Order: sequence, then C-alpha cells, then structure tokens
Amino acid sequence: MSATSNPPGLPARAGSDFSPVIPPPAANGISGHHGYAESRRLFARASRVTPGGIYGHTSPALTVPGDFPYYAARAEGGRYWDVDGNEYIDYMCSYGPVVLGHHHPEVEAAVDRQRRDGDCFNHPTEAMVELAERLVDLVDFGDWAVFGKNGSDMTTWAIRVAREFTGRKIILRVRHSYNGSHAWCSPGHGGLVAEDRVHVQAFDWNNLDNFRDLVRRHRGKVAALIASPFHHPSFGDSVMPAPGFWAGVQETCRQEGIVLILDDVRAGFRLHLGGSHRVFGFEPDLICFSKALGNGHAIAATVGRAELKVAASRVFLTGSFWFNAVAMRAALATLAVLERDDGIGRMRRTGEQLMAGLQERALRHGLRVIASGPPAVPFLRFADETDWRRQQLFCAEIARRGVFFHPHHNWFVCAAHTEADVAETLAAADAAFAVVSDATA
Amino acid sequence: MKKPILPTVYLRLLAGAVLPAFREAFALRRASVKRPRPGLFRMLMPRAPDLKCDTTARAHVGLGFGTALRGAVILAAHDPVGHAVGAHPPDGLARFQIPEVGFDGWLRFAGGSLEGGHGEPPAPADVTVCFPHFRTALLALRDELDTMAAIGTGEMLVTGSLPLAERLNVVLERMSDYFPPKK
Repeated sequence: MSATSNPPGLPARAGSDFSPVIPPPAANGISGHHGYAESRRLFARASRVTPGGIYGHTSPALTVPGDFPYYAARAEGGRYWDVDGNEYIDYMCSYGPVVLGHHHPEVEAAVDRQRRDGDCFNHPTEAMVELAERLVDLVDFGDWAVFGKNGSDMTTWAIRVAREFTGRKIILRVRHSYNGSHAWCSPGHGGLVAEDRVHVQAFDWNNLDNFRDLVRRHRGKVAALIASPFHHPSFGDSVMPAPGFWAGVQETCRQEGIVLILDDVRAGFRLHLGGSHRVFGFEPDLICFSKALGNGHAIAATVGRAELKVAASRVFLTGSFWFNAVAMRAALATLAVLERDDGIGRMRRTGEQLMAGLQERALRHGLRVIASGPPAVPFLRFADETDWRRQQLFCAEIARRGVFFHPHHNWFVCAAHTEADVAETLAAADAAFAVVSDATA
Repeated sequence: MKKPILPTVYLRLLAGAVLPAFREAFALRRASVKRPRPGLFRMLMPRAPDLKCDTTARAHVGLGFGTALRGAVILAAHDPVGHAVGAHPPDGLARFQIPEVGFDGWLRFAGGSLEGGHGEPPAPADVTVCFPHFRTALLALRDELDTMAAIGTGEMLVTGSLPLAERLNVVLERMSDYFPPKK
C-alpha cells in the first residue's frame, strides 16, 4: 500500500498534503463548502509555536485529520462557523458547555451588566452567594456549594474532601472513564509517576460484583467512589446504568462509609436541572458540575451534603480567577432560562428526533448503526466496525455538508437546536450515509 | 498520544545492547575477527552529520523501524508492563509504512499476545501509521517529532483506530526502560 492508497473499500484519502477524501466542492457538488485551507494554514503556524499545534481534546489527531475543521471563527445559537467560512449545525456544543445555544442573548446581557461593574476583584461578589443558594435549592441533597473553573478542579477537590472526611486514602473509579485531566485520572501517559495513582483503583462499569470485591479487599480504606451518571468513554458506545446498579452502589457506599461522588461534569444540566442522579434514582454525597453550568462561560461547582461541610472547609480551594463574577452571573442566567423554557425537555425531544432519524436514514442505506447514550448526550457509530474508518468517513462527509459530529466522542444537543436543524441534519446524513454505503459496497 | 508512535527505541536498542555486545566480542576475539566495515556502524548508529546523507538516513530509518517492531513483540511476551497492556482492548492489526524507504510492517494484538511481520499483513489493518516522508520517520526514531502536530499537518498519517495505535505506543515506549539512552 502506498502512502496515498486507501483503507480497503474506502475512497482515496490522505496524501502527505491531505489530499481530500473526495474531490473539492466544485467537482462533488457540495455547495457552500469552502474546504479547510485556512484551518490548515493556522495549524501550520500553531505547530511552530505550540506543542501539538492544538493540544488536549480538540487536537486534530483525535478527529479526522485533514478532513475536519481545526479552528472556529464565530457562533450563534445552535451553529458555528470555522475560519474557512464553513457553517455547521453544532452537535458538539463546545464539547458540552453550550447548553442554551452560542451567545444566548439573556445570558450575554447578564454577562455584559456584570462586566460593566467589574469581574475580577479582591473579594467575591454577591453573585457567588446567589449562585450557591440557587444550586443548594436545585440539588435535592445539597446544603452547600463551592466554585472553580473546570471539571478537573472540582473532581480533584472532591476526592480530597472525601479523604479529609473519612481519613482514608483509596479512591474507586470506573475503568476507562474520564474524570478530568489531573494526574490521578488523566487518560494520558506523559509526566506521570506510579505514585500518582497508587491509591486509585478501577472497576468495570455496571459490574456491582467487581465494585464490591474492591470494597471488600480494601475494607475500611476506601474514601470515595467517583463516577459519572452513565458511562461515556471515548472511542466507544455510551452505556446506561443497569437496573439496580446505582442503588447497589449507593447501598454499599452507605454501609461502608464511602463518600459517593457523582461526576456530573459532562451530563449535568442536560438530563435534569437538579443533577443527573435524579434521573437514575440514587443520591450521591457530592456532585461536581461544570460545562453546561455557564453556557460557555468558565465555571465549575461542587455541591455537597451537610455532613461533609466541615471537611470541605478544611480542604484548600482557590484559583486566581475562581471568584470572578461574570461567569457566576452567566450561570445564574443559564439556570433561569433552562428552567423557564424547559430546556432539558426540549433537548431530550430534539435528541430523540435526531437519533431516530439518523438510525432510519442509515437503515435506508443498508448500514447498521448503534445509537447510545441519553437523547441530549447521544452517540452513534457503525456496528461491526473495529477500525472506525466508516465512522470517520461519515463524520468527514457530513461535516462537508454543514453538520458537526465528532467521530469518537459523544455528541451534545443544545436547547437552541430546532426541528428545522434536525431536518437539515437528516438530509445531510442521508447524503453522507450514501457515500459510506457506496464506499463499502 | 503524547509520544511518537515509534520513538527512539531503535537507537536505544542498538546503543544499549547490540553494539556493546559486538564490541565485547571483538575485544575477546580481536586477533581473529575483523571489525565490521565502518559503513555498517554508520548505518546502525549514525552520527548526526552522517544523517545528512539520504542513503545513510534511509537505511537507518528502515533498520530502526524493523528493530522497533521486533522488539515490541518480545516485550509484549516477556515484559510485565507489555504483557499487561496486551490484556486490555482493543485488539487489532496496526500497519506501519514508510514508502520512501520501502518499509511496510505490521503488529497484531490478539487474545493478549502480540505478533508482527513485514510486508502484506494477514488481515486488513485496523490502524495504519504512515510516514509519507522518511525524514519525518527519522525524527520519530530520534524522539524529535511532535507527533500530535505531525498528525495535524499530515506529515504523519494515522488512519483508523487511534486507541490501538496508542496501545502499541505504550509497549514501544517500554523499550526505553530496558535500553536507556546513552548519556
């Protein structure tokens, strides 16, 4: 196979200069697609001055390199535009934070008002008190709240609170789950030493026996269990909790004095306004939020029950920008709009319509797909595929047609997505599935 | 992936084991064994100035990647970390190509073990790692390549299952624990 030859059964792609998968718009009839030349030009500049060019979860290496946009220019509602002028219906929503739609007018008005008064002070503002009160009201078990900027800030702090409260060391987490980018849970390999994870043990999602075995083996030493409400690994299907799983986890945690931490960073405020545990019928001791809380403004929160408040007060928590008022005003406005407009119900209905339509369109082309995850945080991939190539081709093709789906990471619906957006998405999907079907025929 | 798919293990392998063994043998049998031709040394462990020569660099790249693939198989079988990596999904076949030097090799994780070979693989690849230009592959061998940036620019092409490539990378990186770089 030469450098530019294809994976078996798929059209030509990827020469050293990223020869496109299919011919340019003029030849393939995809109107409005301008290619990715400016994205690539910026990336070439970036790779000279930034390690990796773009690092972390938005790295091109994790998408479809050469056949995907790398840089954004602007966004509005449920859509965004890349630096080449391509417009997309945005089903990643900035990997979750945008829950009401980009640049939501009421959120931005609240932000503008606070910005005029100031953002970064010597002290917190009244907004912090209001936001803590609001979250304590929303979360059924919540008696107090603290704030940070990112999910990792909160998950790392939460396990320290559990250790302070219990006087124990061991943290249990779900194998192949994502709880943040810090050393105890980072999915990367670089810069780690064995001691970073010596007190962290993993069990398989939905495997109560596996979890209880670990608890038995380390009886009296487990400080906390941290897990997301459903399992959402990259490069895999999302897996909902099995019947009885969360009830069993909660029962064991209560019996053994283990702090139950819900990592609701990814799903929070998309499944239930009071925390995703409400959907699955259990009650954690701590819940970590970020992403959707501020509709794109940088804020994270942990809400906890009263018994943990003293321990929480002893675990140092701060950051240079963690008391900034603008993001807190954004969060207050986001929560108000979500509640008033039943944003969560709206996202659920949109997601259901989207996923049913995608499955139906795939079937029309003789393609078997697997849909997974809750409707507002869905994912879809091709069945019987281990190499992800059809998935990558589908996502590249639909991106050319104005829809942004990630090939390997769960998607996000926002409250700004409309029925018309879904209809447009399904029309684009029809064409993209046709390409995949032809390529694999 | 934080490090090159195929790092400098080859240089380390040779520097740490093969050449010292050669030298020891030569020391013992100096009277009866001729030293290899200087050209061989240049090929196995070239000095930086030698790598300006395309012929030397191409040969070095081919030898390096061949050694790395062979070493990965050995580590997956006998090294505890390599063995542990083999026990986790995903299984699959990875193909490595450097067309400019005619290199075409593969590794396959299956049922906890790793096998490898050269030429046409026995099954379609789940992931293909291709260096369109051998100079990029050379940078990878010398641990001088920003892999993530290279994938983004198209200097390095990874198509298919990235988790499989990452899994193999963990095994390959393990080589440097056995053959630490010469100071």
